[in-house]
Amino acid sequence: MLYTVGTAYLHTRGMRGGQFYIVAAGVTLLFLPMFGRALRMKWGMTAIALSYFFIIAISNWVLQLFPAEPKLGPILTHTTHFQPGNFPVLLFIPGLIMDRLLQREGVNEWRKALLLSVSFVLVLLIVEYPLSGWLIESPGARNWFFGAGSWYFGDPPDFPFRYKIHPSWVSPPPVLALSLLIAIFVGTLTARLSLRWGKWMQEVRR
Amino acid sequence: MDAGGTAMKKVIHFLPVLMLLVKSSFAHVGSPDVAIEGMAGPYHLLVSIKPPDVIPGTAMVTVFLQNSSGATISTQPVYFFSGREGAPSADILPPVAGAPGTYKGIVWLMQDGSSSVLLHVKGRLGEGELIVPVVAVSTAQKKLPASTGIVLILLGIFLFVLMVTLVGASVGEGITNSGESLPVHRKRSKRIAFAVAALLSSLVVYGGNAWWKGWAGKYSQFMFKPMHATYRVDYELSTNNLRMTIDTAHSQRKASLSYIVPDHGKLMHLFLMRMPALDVFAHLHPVRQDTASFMAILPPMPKGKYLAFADIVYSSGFTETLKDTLTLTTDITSEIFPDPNSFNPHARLDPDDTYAYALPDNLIGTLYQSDNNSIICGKPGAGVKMKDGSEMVMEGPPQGGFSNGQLYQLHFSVYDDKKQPARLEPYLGMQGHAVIVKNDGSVYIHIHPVGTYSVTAQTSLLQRVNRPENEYNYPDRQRFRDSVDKLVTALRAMPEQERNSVLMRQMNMPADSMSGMKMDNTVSFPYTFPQPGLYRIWIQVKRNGRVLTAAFDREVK
Repeated sequence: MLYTVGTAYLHTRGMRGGQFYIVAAGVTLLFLPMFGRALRMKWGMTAIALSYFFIIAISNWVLQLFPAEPKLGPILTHTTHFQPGNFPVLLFIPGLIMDRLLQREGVNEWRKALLLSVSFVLVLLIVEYPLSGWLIESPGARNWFFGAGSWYFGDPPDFPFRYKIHPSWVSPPPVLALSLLIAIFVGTLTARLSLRWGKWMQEVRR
Repeated sequence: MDAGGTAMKKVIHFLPVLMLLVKSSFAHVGSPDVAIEGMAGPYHLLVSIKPPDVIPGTAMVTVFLQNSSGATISTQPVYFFSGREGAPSADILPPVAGAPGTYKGIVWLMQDGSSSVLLHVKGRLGEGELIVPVVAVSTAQKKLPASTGIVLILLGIFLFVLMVTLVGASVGEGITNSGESLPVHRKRSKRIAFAVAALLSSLVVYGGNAWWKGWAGKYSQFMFKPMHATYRVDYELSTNNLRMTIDTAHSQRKASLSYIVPDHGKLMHLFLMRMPALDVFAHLHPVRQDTASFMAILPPMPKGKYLAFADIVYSSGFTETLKDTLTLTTDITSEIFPDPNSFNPHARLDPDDTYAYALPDNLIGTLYQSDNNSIICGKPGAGVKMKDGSEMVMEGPPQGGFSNGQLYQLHFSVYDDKKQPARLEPYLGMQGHAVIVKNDGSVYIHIHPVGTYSVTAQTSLLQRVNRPENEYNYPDRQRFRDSVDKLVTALRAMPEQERNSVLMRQMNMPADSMSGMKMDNTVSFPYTFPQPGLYRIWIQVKRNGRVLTAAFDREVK
């Protein structure tokens, strides 16, 4: 439920703003380390992040095959099929790095949490910052796989920033840097909580 | 070319805009139901629409097919903002079992503002369409039913207890082997976990409540708030110079006021009725001084407190009534008209302004009694003698009397002093006008016999909704207002015949026809009384060039 609330802030158009990284770190790191630990797998976090990716991606790919039309006006963009959601966040890439790092770490849980948070935020930035721009602006993304042509029926089809990044979506570098620091701080706290949660999961007897 | 003609030429580039915008007036107080009689191609329909009091919400649509059977009727909500292009596909309006020719169903209205329901009829006679304007506004804030509230509170308490117990057990029994007793430190952790879980769950409940209240607050800001105006008599100018100022400081539609458009040549229709007996009636057309100020010349009226209902129509087709009161401290005894050519060109009575006195009991012995504008209010079974000696008779009420919430056709007939049917003439381009007001002033509506007039208005709306633009873009505010002022001034200066033909040309009608409007001695209005009570119905018609007013009192159960 928490993650669902969080996804309201995890839109492709927000990936160049600082808020995205704060919310993503806070919400994702509350769950991923817990799952990673509870699964007792070498690549637990990667596995969970990959299943997340495929659940979202497959629903997007399948949904758009079914005919549908909006029945509540005003309809500014007419559509004939279900519209796919955002292309899922590639969480498995930071997941892969985090799994690798944890395998080499010692026993200090706070150190682990900090390491998880720093690596998650930085890898997410490196992956999603450029990817989001490509998804929004490149005609190459407007296909069934990436679903970037998807559009809400209540918005005008000729919205000038439909395929263009609006300046207000982009945080200036100092703001982004500060947001990343906040994201790392928040992420460390939730990751620590998540690690403890995962430990408890391992201890559950009945 | 005369001055009026020049003004007309200047505004000619705005005419297409105005043509799209002139629209049927359904301004009201406390009477939101829409009743329309009209033609959908070959089909004669009587339509009643009950708009929702919360947007988004569902409008209840009832259609009575008058001249065919077995036809299929479907509905589409069409918004002024997004036009026909932006309307969802049509839905079938189901026929009512056991009532041939009656169809009833709902239409979702998702956006507030000027909307309409487009009816499509298909059957033996062919196909046809009728567009019914609906003003969609949120006027109510719904309360959660008490029983639902109690059930939800109980479920909430259950979830709260479940959550706290779950967390407590998870750090206690959950990590202890089955059969083993809890060690002391686990018991302590369990107690702490209880407390923390209770605190966090309470915070969630508190946050949820704040979120809910936040949305309720947002909703109440979005709710329709009627505009108000203040009235004062400007004794410096003359004893009968009425000035009206709309309070724009607290208005949701401050920016829209520049976009009001003339309804049948008049920017505003102001109805004054003296309280408490509703015995004095005036129908005036105040002239705009600036965006929020209007001026009118009062006819002879006795002093007292008056209800003032001012109807305006915005370019979007959104209609509104400003309900206020006005107090006259002195009797206005004669018609004092400042010279139209003097210092203030606006200060003159509009040629279509009218007034009447009903129930003259309390006015006996005054000059108002001898004024031939006095009438005796019509009770059931009795006609009303009007000032030219002719008589108006109201048909009905039906067996059992009028009931609220039911659609009626209110029929009126006029007979001359020899009891022969008296042929009526169009007044402001219509067979007649009706003002229906409840005796306490809580219900007010200004309606017209629909049919021809509605068809004209609907043609205008159809022109808008059929435009390819998906989103409507408003023209420049200042230019729009100026062009409307010029048009209204030019129209007012014209002789009546010329003005009627200009208005009809504007509405794309042949100048020599009223689009099939049949002028005989009858006039009828479809109407649904919204609540029980005593109503006064004022009817205005025109005969031999004179506007005649009649009044009828009817009880509605």
